[in-house]
Amino acid sequence: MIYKVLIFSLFLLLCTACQKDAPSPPRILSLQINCDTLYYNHGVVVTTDFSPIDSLLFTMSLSEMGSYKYLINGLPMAVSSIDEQFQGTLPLDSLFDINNLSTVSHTITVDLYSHTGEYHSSKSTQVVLLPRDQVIPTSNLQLAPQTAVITNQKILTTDNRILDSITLSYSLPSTESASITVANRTVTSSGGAGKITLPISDFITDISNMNNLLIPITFHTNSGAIGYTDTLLLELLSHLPDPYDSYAWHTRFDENDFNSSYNVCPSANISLAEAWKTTRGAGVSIAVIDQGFEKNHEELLGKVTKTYNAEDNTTDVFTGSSAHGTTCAGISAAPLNGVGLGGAAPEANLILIAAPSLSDAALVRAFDYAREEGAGVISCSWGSYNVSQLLSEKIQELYDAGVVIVFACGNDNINLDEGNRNDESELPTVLGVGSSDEKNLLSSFSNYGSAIDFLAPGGSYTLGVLGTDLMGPSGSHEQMGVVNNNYAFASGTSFSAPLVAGVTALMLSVNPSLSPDEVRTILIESCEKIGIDAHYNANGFDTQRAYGKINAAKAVTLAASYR
Amino acid sequence: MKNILLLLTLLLSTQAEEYFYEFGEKVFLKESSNRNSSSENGFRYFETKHGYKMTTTGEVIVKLQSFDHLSYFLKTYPIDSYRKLDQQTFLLKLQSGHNVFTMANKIHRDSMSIYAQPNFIREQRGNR
Repeated sequence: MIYKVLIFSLFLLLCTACQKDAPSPPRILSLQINCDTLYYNHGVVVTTDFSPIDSLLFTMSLSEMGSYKYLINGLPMAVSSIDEQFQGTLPLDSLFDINNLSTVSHTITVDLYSHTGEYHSSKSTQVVLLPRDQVIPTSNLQLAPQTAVITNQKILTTDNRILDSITLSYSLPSTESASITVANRTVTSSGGAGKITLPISDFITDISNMNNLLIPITFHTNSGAIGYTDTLLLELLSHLPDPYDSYAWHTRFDENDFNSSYNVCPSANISLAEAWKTTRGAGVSIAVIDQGFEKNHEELLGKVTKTYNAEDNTTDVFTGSSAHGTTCAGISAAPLNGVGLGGAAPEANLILIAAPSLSDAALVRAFDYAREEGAGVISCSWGSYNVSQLLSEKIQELYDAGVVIVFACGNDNINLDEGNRNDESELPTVLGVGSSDEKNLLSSFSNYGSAIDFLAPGGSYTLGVLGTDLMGPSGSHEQMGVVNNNYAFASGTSFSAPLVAGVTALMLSVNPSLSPDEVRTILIESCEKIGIDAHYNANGFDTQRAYGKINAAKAVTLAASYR
Repeated sequence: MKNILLLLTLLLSTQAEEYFYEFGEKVFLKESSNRNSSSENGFRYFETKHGYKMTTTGEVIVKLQSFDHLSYFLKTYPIDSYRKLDQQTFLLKLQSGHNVFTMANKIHRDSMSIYAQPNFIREQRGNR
């Protein structure tokens, strides 16, 4: 028995030894080509740096040197004695039909055989052939700037400077001279890198109704090897893009992860972005009577024409630690300037009036100051359910003088018609505003009543409207993980009112003669009827939703033609 | 019995009722029992019959028939200082020791005024 085991073990050892000694077949370890992207143009194949090319250089790395046969894409090549690192050339006409070039990705496969014809190994790589006239490598040809802003009949750079010229930068092979035609101007380059600067007036003669600018480029190397005709795009924006616009669901709808995660209804906004194509409120002053104005907020700098403290007769409006006034001011008129987000009337001016105690005397003074300083509309995000005769008469006085006054109607989810309430927002001389939310429904907290006129976005308990907060870490902490500390999401009718004030400013900028009643009529006529279980009567009024939610674009269109 | 009367007097004095004129009517206010009436700045705390809270500041607001009548008011009433609110409306700071409701109602009834009331801070409904 012991002998049998020993013999079997010896047999196994012999087998193992035999396996170790058996030679493994040679293998291709790697296959590389010198250009994996080629362009073709007018029957000429060029590299990405414009050099004409008729064959590829390939490098093959083998597991051992030897005498081999190899096939490239099935075509037999000569039997060679091949080193471990082998280089060869591959004529392009063996890969492509050179007279009938087309966009294609070509696979190059090398099959390795022994000199006796025994198959060993294969390896593949790819080369892509692209039409040159559809490809503009940005490293070779660049337009600067690529984006500009048209505002107030001026063309500005995105950092707010007058744009007077555009520059085309190019990069050619150092040996290749070329003629480059941009629009109607042709320059000659002796090769290498260069720039062509042309006045913007060559491209834009009529600034009104200007859309994106397509600039034709013709490019011919003098050898004839390279040449194409194409257009470069100068994108013309209607305003400077603000980084947080995409979170401002009350102004417009963007399809993005933020809006998806909060189930924002695409029609929850009030079409402000659309209205801004017509006007941004230039020439109109919005007075905001509130408290806690940070007049040096990055979105209010340069916007504020006057500040006034109606309590102590000073210009100090940064009263208390609240950001309430700052938020209301920003929501009504923050500029489109590449910072934060745009307010409802981004080119309107702001008059900030603090009345910290909201005493009867301070309010009379505040409203009178707003009129003295030429406010076209006054935004008020406060109320008492107990309006004074004094304030009612002062508001009547301003109404008679043509000043539009907007009041938020409060956040207690109550019917103002009940319970002996006499709220400022119910006065017939003001626009009373309730709140809609991101689902395009009545906000659950919004007050309502027969004297309220319409709704505007004020958010919900889940998601507020985005506005200006105190600068830095103080203020609200409702940044929702998407905006910095200078901004916050805030909910309440307090933020619906400045939106209506801003839309009113837009309307007054296209039709300054509108009376407060005409503004109300237009806003009501352009309202959208919202609400799943709403019951709008024959006059278009619903008890809780008033005449519906305002629409800025429609209101501005109606205002422009209103006589 | 004397003690009961004394207690009632004390209770009434801390629950003083005042009135002023607004929208052509007398508006009665009950002094708030849970606020310190003699707090700083002469502020006193009241509530309307509907429960709205109002605070007086020791000042009276008067709307005059004409700006020319201002000197008459300054001579006639115990006014310490004044501030113009608009062309016809003035905030009058009373000399100490005078009840703002008594003086506001006197001025209100004066034929040279259109209207007068204490300067109130009305409790605001809350912001979200």
